Amino acid sequence: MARKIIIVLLSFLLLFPAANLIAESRQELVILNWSDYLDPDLVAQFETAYNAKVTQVFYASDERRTELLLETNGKGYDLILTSGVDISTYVQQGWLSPLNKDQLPNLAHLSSHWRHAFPYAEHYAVPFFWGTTGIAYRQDLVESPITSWKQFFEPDTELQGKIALFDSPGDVIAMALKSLGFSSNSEDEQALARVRDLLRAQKPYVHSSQYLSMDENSLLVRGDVVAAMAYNGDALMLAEYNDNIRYVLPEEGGEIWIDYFVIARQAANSDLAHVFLDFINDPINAAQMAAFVYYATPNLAAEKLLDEDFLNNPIIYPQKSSLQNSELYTPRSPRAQRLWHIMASELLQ
Amino acid sequence: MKLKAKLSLLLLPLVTVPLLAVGVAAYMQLTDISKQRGQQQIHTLFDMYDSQIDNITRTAQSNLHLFSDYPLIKQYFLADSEEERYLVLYLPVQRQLYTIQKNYPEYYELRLLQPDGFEDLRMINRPLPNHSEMELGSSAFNELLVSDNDISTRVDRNPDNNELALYVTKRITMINDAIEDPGATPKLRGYFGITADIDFLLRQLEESILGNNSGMLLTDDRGVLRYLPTHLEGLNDDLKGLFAEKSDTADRLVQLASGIFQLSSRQLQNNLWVHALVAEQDLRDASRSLNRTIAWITIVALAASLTLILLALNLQVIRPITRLRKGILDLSDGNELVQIPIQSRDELGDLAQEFNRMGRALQQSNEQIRNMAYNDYLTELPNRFHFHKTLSQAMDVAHRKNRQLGLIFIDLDNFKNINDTLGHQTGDRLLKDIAHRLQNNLRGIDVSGPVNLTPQEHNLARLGGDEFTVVIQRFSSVIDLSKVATRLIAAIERPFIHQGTEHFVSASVGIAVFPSDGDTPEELIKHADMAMYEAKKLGKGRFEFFSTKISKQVLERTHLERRLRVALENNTFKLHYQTILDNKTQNIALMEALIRWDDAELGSVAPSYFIPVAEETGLINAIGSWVLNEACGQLRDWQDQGNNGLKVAINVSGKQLEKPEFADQVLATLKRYDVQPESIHLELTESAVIQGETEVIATLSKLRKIGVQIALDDFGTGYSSLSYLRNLPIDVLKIDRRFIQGLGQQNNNIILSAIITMAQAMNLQVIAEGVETQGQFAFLQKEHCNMLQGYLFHRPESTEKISAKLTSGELHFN
Repeated sequence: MARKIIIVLLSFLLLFPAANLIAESRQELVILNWSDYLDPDLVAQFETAYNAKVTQVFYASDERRTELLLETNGKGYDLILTSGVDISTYVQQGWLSPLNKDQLPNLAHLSSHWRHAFPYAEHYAVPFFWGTTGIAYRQDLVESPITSWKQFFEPDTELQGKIALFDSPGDVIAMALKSLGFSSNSEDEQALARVRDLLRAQKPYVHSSQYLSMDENSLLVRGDVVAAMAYNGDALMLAEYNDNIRYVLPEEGGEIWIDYFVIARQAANSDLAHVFLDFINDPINAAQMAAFVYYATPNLAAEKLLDEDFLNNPIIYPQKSSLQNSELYTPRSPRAQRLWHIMASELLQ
Repeated sequence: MKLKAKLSLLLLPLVTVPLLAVGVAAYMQLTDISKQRGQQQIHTLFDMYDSQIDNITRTAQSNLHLFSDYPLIKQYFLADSEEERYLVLYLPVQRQLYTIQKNYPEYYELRLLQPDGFEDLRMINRPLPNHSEMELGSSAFNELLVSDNDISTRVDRNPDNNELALYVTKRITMINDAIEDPGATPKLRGYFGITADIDFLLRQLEESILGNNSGMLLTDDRGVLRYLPTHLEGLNDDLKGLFAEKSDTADRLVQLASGIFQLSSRQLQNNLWVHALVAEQDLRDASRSLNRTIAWITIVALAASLTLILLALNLQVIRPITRLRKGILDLSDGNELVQIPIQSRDELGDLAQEFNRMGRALQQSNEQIRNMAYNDYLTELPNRFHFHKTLSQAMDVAHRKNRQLGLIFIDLDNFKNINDTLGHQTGDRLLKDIAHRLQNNLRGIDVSGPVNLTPQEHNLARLGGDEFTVVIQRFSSVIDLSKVATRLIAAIERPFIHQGTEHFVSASVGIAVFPSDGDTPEELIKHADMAMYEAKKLGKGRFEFFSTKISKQVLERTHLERRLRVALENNTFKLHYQTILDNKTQNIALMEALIRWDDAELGSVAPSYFIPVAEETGLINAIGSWVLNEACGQLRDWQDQGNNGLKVAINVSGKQLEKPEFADQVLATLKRYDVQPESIHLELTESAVIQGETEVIATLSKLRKIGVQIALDDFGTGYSSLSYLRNLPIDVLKIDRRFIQGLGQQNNNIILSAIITMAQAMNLQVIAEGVETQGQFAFLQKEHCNMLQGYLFHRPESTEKISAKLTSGELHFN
């Protein structure tokens, strides 16, 4: 069957020599990214403007991204969308090449605060968006609004069996630490032991550990899941499908993450990658991108172009006060990471 | 019975001993075999365990080589920083080990160790606490440290779960292609360990039931007990010292506190030994049950075969023999044919067949003997012996039934002559011929004259020589005997043809009658013999009765018969008539015709004398016809003379009425003389009607229909019932004279009166016979008896006298 499709497709290509020619002359850009994280409109613009073809390879968790890169030893991608935490690991693995700042004039628009947030970020990475990790929930399906991680990790009857976690145990453990009052980056053995117990107890009530899909079939939209660990922007995106969806940064505090674009060491087209990065940091484009993804852009020039409602949305731009208890992800020590892995695999049983 | 016992006693040991011998031999053999098999079984199990352990060991080893070759694993071992190991590789490697475990769930623990023995990554697929992370001290690990092999396998107790497991550990030494020369010495990178469960083996050990007190167990190479099946747990202490020294593999007996055991051992791995411990008790138990089985089988087989043999014996031998014996007894007992059933095709069956043949032959010869004993061989007639028996029996019967019996002795005259002149052979032929003639004659064939004898009621016998006897058992009168004698004599006197010439013999016959001539057979025979000699004396070719009285009787009777025939031929009979008067008018109503016979030689013979003889000889028909003819003719004459309305009453014999032509005869006669039927009365006696055949009634009805009047004569003497009387076709009742004569005595008046009333009530006319006195007359008149007859009025007179009296008017009728 697949063969037939291929034959048909090929014949199409042959029937349209023009298309063929054009296809031959187009440059290709491969981006390793989360899904629904680039405005298709902008991508199309870029493609037309630079006669390029953009291919995205998706992952659904940070770990998965790392695994993909490990599989090919970083080969096969031009641009990688990574969380700030992993930049130094990737650099150490030799998977990244430093930015050619000359090719990125629009870098000037980006706040230096974000550019220095993580090791190696300054030279290797271009900030993309930052956001929080909290709880997305269906307010129509709970008695009272959810406000804490405690409710999430020790669910009441109304939430039992309707909880969704992240596919990334690291995030889960971090938030669990937070719910117990610990720092999300804690490496204390006792704390971790308590987390283990907590997660073990919660396990029976968890409906899914897959990250929510960003469409109308999403479990949260359907109501199969009532409360899910989610990124703030994603919650807003899902709210488009069901306006009963709310997002909360729990009172214990959530997580602050920053995403960066990095260029693969073995990128096939490093130049085009730079062009893309500059393109999306054009203020107008950056603003458009932000509006699409509902995230806070580090591009100060773009910020100015966004409308009031957007900038005032506490979900997108949380108040300092609400960020009080939240922490930025920091790289864990390898040993701690190991413990986290062991715990995660235990929980996976 | 004795034979049965004897045979049984003989067979008992013959059957028992071999069966028992077989049983014992079987037992011994089986014990041996089962022991051997037990051993074999153990060794087979050992083989199986061995190969299984070997199998999984090899498999685990090769798998381990395989796993350690996975790129990701290699990368992991080659990773030089913790960051790389834990931040980048850990999760993927975890996932890979997870997949491996999915495919090999029996490898329940996979461990990646650092070169220092630190348990870096541990993948388990079952809840298992981690005893320690530092595996430096573990024996599997230590072994690797010292050995040259890069893989070690041990079966050991897993401290994490206290279960026996197979530890396969590989030392990972690699060259880092990226940074080292290919020729460089491979560096120790770490260890890859598989912990595999050997539950299946343990389960098999547990399940191999060698007996209640026996089982399989495992030790290590130092003799330390590693595994003991649950049912042997009690032996734990006992076994502690047993395996201390290096075990050898030979099967041997060991003594434990709880008993003697048979021990077999096998080394499975370099550190694992399996032992089979079989309690002697168990062996004994097994053999005991075997014992019992064999004993039962033997007993059952014995019982069955003995029963079957006895049964077979009985059926096939004893019973046929008994039957034969019974047959022989029967044979000697009676005269009947004795046959015994043949039930088998074997020797006994043949014997039975021969017996039967003998039985038949015996019966045949018995018959022959009987024949010979009873019958005369020449003529096949009963012989003297038989005759004597027959005569005795016949006389008994005759005596019992109060009948007469006639014995006829026949002696051939001049037979000696024939014998001498023509030879004994011819003489014999003559005798045979005579016998035939006599037989035929007596059977009713070749007979002249009426015969009263049925074939069974004569018994012809040959007394011997030229003497024959005939016993006649049923005859109405002695005359019949004389008639038989006459016939027989006549038969004998027929010519005998020999070689073309006729020869003649005659016979002298003597007749004796029982009981008058004797009441014993001897007496009767003697008298018959004497009568026969008398006949010979008186001229031969004749018969003589022994009793002169009978002779005389016979003579007279013969004479009478002869004269009767003569009278018929010559028309010597005459009719007389007696009047019957009407009671009221005293005039003549009827003329009764009475036959009279005056014979030249016999003189006047009373009808009461000759009529019965006529009836016996059948002459009555002719006489009766004559009377009918004569009376009708006479009546015609009288009626012509002016006596119209005169009637005539004719006596008829029942014998006449038995002939169906009689009615036609009467009609014809009436027609001939033109006489009205109503003017004829036919009188017949009550007894004649009663004793007569059914034809009598039929003929009477026929006659009555034409108009002839029927009168029942001598009424009161025949003992007829009233209902019978009612149905008779009669018109007149003639009361017997005895009733009339008896008037005045006893109840006769009342009876007579009753009879008259009854008869008249039945529409019958009543005639009183034998009226002789006035008193009788007066009574009868008073009783309104219809008609009267008797000497008081008129006596029977000849035709002439009556005719004259009629003409003169002396006699007048209404």
